[in-house]
Amino acid sequence: MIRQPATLRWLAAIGVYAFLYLPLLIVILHSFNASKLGTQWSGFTLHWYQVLLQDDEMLRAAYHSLLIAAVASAVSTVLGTLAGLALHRYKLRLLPLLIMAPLAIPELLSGVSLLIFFVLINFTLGLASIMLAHIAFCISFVAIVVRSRLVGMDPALVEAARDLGATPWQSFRYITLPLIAPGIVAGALLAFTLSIDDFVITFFTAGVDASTLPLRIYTMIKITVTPEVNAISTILVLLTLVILAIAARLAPSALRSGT
Amino acid sequence: MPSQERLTRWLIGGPPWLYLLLLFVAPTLIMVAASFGWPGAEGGLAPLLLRDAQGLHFDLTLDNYTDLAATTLYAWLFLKSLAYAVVVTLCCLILAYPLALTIAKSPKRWRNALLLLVILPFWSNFLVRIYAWMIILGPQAGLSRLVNGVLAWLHLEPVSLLFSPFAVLIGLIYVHLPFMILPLYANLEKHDPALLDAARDLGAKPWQCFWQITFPLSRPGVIAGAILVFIPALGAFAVPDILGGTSGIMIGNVIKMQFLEARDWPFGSALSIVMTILVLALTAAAAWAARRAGGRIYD
Amino acid sequence: MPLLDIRNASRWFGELGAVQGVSLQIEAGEFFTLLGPSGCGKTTLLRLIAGFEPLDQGQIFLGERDMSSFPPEARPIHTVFQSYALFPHMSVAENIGFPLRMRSVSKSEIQTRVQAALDEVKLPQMASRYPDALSGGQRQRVAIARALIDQPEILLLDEPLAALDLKLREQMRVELIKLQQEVGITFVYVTHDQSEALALSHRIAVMNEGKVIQVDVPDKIYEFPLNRFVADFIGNCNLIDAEVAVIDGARVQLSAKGLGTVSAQLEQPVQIGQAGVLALRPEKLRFAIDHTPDENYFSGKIRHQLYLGDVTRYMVELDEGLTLQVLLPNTSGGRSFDIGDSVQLAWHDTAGRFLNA
Repeated sequence: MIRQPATLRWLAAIGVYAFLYLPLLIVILHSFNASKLGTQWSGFTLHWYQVLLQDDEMLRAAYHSLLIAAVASAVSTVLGTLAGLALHRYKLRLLPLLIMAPLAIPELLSGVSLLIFFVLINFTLGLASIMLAHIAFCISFVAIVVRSRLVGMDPALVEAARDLGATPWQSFRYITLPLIAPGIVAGALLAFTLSIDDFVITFFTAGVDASTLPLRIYTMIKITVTPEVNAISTILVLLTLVILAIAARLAPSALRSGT
Repeated sequence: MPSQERLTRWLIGGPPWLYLLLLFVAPTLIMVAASFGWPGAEGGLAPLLLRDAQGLHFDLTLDNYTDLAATTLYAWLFLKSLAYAVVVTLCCLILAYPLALTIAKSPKRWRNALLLLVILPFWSNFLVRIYAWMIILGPQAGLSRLVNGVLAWLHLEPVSLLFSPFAVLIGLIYVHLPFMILPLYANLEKHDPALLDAARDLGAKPWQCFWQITFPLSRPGVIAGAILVFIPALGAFAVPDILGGTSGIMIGNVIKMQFLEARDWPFGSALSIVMTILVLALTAAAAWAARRAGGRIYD
Repeated sequence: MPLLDIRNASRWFGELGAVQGVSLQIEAGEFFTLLGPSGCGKTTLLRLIAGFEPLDQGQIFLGERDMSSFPPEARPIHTVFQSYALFPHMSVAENIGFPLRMRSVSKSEIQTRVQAALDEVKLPQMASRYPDALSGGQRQRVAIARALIDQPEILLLDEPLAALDLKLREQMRVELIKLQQEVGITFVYVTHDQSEALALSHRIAVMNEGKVIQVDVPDKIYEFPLNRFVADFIGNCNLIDAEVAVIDGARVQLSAKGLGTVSAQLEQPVQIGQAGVLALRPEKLRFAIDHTPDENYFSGKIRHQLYLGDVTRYMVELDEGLTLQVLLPNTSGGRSFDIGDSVQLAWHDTAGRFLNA
């Protein structure tokens, strides 16, 4: 059968790719732009990166972001893996709803409800409140990734293990766990990225003292727009890209099924 | 044996279940309760349970909801936000479809790479992506100068591309586009190419093939993508906050203001609850529509 | 005492009785086959023995031990799964050594025994390969080696040859028989392929719709099927509705529909007028010019023939109206008869059997 060349479609597709990438490329480009006002190109420089490294506020925000992301991804990976296992194997009442609901509701609503919650129980807003909030939404993502990995696993393998003498725990440890390990790692990386990137929920649960990179960037965008923003943006973009590339290697199908 | 399995079930599923109960369900329920409360003396929320001369009783009111219903401003804002969400969803659909179709029809070995190319910009920081449009739409940038140049040539007033509804819409489309591409692709990939061959064999032209075969079959994917775009767009707050200025305000901004600036938490809660109900109703409607179209939304 | 004693076992899935009141005794060292069409319950029965399904009713005894309190990992019974279920993240050696590892056998001993097992299934060089690099036949042998390495009392095999092509299947059949004789372990084999069951087994249990219909050695099942279902399922058979007309010692005269009066062998006591089925194996009929007094004799015309190389199947329409299938070896090379030829069919009085419906 003769295939028609779908040139029109390919052109549209490339156009959309361009639409997706150009804004980011512009930011990355401007991070090397010596001009202070931002849109006229006046020479290549690494000046803004140097400013970045000396910006204490920024470094503090970066440190907080990494700390929160590390804790949030660690805890949510454990809880999310448990949830993924439970979703796949047991019909625990309401668990699917509890996992899916946070994903279905706009982040704004989660953010404000957590704000009220923390204040009501007299929990000081700060790094801890941000961590707790991040863990909550990360669990769902990790659960979905782990579950999709479990779905792809041949159920006969666990039966074979038990048939050959493995107790339920042994069959989990020697068969299930190694086979879903890439999914767990992908889930952890996903959680880490989501945590570093999160703005809306962090915005409401941060309180006065705590600062994360997205919050800092927000302040910089709204109040004092300096080209430093371009530099930190570029670094963030590259960081998440690297993490994503690793995660894509480990569990390519899991990332797609998550949507 | 069954009771042992019961124990394992709760040992494994229990911890996440508990965590989400405490940090997702409880806050939501508290917000529902708060929407019936009074604002505190210095802002925030006044205690819902009051001990006074009459003993212990609930101090609740419907004022928040009645105020909401009485003020046309909020109804107008909800409608505006809904309209924005509709426009954004439609635009995302139009932009996403050719891309998703192209990837689905491309040789198998290219597909993962092409998909990755879609996901990559999506995974860069959310604020960065919004900020990028601040640069592009800024008054100094090429685009703005071009548009205003044309307008001047037509003897019309210059417009500001930034801090406008236009900027908000573009920002929302940009941020949510991948959410439309991926489910659409997931659906299109499963289409049997033999169906199109059969249609062409029977005399259908390419445009007809698309409308008669491809598009109807893709409906579950379209609906899934529509939900994943519409609902976050409806509740958007960061995009209008950064790109919208005063004319691009959505209901999300108002809620934020109630919580952080006006500090009328009960009222903010009431607004949030109304939005939640709206979101849930739309999700349910979409799920119903998807079932009729023969697909499933969530795995 | 039988090695495996299944007493009145039942397993229900909702309204569906997958296994209903099955009782079987399997002796040590037997190659015992569960044979039946899809959905007859043979795989469910196998899973009940392995411990993956709980018994809704009845008991299963291994020797003197009631298996119902033993989870799968505690039973000295191993399974060769239909899909082989080799662990993809472990090498061949690690797969085979898995049962020993679960019993905390020392690493050095595992290594020796794994190598011995590989030699036994004729895959000596495959220790460090991974399952996805093996062919179907090789994977099957690894699955068998893995299940036998710690010498279980019973080996369960769930249609292990189903995924192999014809030549390989026939080869593996011979190897399975040899293997079972060498290791002497009891095999319980599940298949829907009746020729496979006949070739491999010491005894066969024919199952249908959750129940065991007949248990016997292969030639008895073939020659003396209990009822219409067994006669039809095993091999080819002419099945004609018939009624008992005259009882004459070890013979019976039947009034067969479309055939008239036919003599057949009597197996169980019957009554005059009893309705049943006349079962006639195609290979027991011959084309004859004349016949002896203790043969049934009919004339007809050849309507179809199926040339199969070593044999030919003929469909002969008798003058009385009935069509019978005849199987003849092609001893004189090529086709001996043509469609439309008039022939005389003869078969011995003892060739036909009268069965319950």
